[in-house]
Amino acid sequence: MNITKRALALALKELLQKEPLAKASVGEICQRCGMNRKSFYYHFKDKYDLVNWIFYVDFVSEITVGSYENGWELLVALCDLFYKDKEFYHDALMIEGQNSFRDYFYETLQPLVSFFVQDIFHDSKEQEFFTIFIVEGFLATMVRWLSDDQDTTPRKFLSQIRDVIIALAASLKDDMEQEDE
Amino acid sequence: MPVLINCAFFLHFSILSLYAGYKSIYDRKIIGKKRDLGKSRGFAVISRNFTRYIINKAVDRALHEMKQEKHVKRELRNIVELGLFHSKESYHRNFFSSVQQMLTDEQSPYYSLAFGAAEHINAHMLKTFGVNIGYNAWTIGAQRIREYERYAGCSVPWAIQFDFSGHSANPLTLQEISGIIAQGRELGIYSFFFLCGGDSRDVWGWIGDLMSRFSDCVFVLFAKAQDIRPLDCSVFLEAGNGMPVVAYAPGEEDYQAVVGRFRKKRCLYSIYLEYGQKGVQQLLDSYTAQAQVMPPVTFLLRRNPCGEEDAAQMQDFVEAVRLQPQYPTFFVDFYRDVARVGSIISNDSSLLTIDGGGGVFITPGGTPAADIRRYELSALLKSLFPNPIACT
Repeated sequence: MNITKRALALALKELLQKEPLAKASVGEICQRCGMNRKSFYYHFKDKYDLVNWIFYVDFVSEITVGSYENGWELLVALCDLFYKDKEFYHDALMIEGQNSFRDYFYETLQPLVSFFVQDIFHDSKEQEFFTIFIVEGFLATMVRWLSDDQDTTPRKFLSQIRDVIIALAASLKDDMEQEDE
Repeated sequence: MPVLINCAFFLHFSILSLYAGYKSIYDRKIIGKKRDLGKSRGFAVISRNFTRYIINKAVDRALHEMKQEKHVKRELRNIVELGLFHSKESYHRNFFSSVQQMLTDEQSPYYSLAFGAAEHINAHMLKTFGVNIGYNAWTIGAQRIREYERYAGCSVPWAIQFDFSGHSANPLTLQEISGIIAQGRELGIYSFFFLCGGDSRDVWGWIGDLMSRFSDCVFVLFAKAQDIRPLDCSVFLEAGNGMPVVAYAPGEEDYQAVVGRFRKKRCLYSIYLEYGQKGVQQLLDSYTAQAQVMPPVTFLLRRNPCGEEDAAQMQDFVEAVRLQPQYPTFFVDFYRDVARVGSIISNDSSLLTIDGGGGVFITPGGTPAADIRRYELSALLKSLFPNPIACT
């Protein structure tokens, strides 16, 4: 990809090791890689645009959706991506609002989640409702995981979620069967 | 704390969703069947379409930003870079690299073209048509065509032209046209052109159905203004994967009315000029001097008999104006460019022509080589375009 964009991306990632994204300025990013602000705005609208570009390139370069057997393996690959740059992505996900990475990632995750939800719910309003809550919940849990001092691996993080869901579902199923008796 | 509250809500609603989910399963009496959480039926579908989905999203964002003139140049460069990033074939990379090079000129008329398109054309149409031809036809379709050629030992065109400009005693029905398109798609053909005229009375009634049924294809209809009905705008706007191309006739009321309507409704449209019957220079001078508004693309259709000198003059003009753009429109010398794309994707064939009566033509304007009603498309191609080399 574009050499200038790569340089700006590296500069931003280095800068975020010292300060949060909210405080980083375009000037500081440019200074770090020896460019002027005009060069930055030639390529990007603002720093959040740069963050979204970093994710897009990382995601498309490293993840071939069709090569995974199921959605869980795809989620593991996605979490691996975040785990490699956990400080960067944690910082990026903390920002909300227009053009934020959180919104951008939400839009990426939503079609994946909605396909799982469609298998369970046939009413389209229920699908939409639960898609939103599952995506929002996953995002919140992911932010927590990325800031976790215990350094839980991506596979372990996701298997914890999966184990909780399976255990709760099994318990609910038992309760329902008892009610019917 | 907000994160903890969100986690609690997540678990709470996960429980609710699982309860609701299992209740509905229980009600359908399929409890007892094992379900592999995460192995969704839909996963195969989404994995096939996910790349297109994220490209669509990126294009959506860029088109939204391009509505502000100050962002047009950057966003256009980013869209082109996106195309380059996703290009796997060398011809794709060459094309996008060339466009990138052209856009290094800050005064390039292509920036005006892009801003005009973003401002005046429905974004859904721009995106759908663009992604369908750039990704479906020239990437996915091209791959499938090559795979099929290796398997079948024949050449496959990348586009089919339905020449409905004549009159047939027994014109093709919607069902027959739909069947041909479906067979074409199976082989990797995603692009369908219609020359409208005598046999095309019903096409305007069908085209919405075809565009909807084959939403991942592109449909381009060449027609005179008087043949285009007022309702057709909404049909094209809704589908997004079709483009009407109107014969250039600035002095005619019908033409002004049709083009005015398309612009008012922000419908993606184009215009075409026919060359071969009168001087090329005169034709081009008239268009470039008099056209008040140029659409993003201007088609040049060669009409035989066309002298070699005229053909060469047109070729020189198109090549010159692409290298050094002067007008806010992209000129397409239709048959020459279709052949060029074809030669990159495949070996021999680039365009298959089918007339209103089902006659199949290897080259436009000759005698029919076969009747499409009598054969499957794949069998016809093996017979008409055998290519043992493709089989290696």
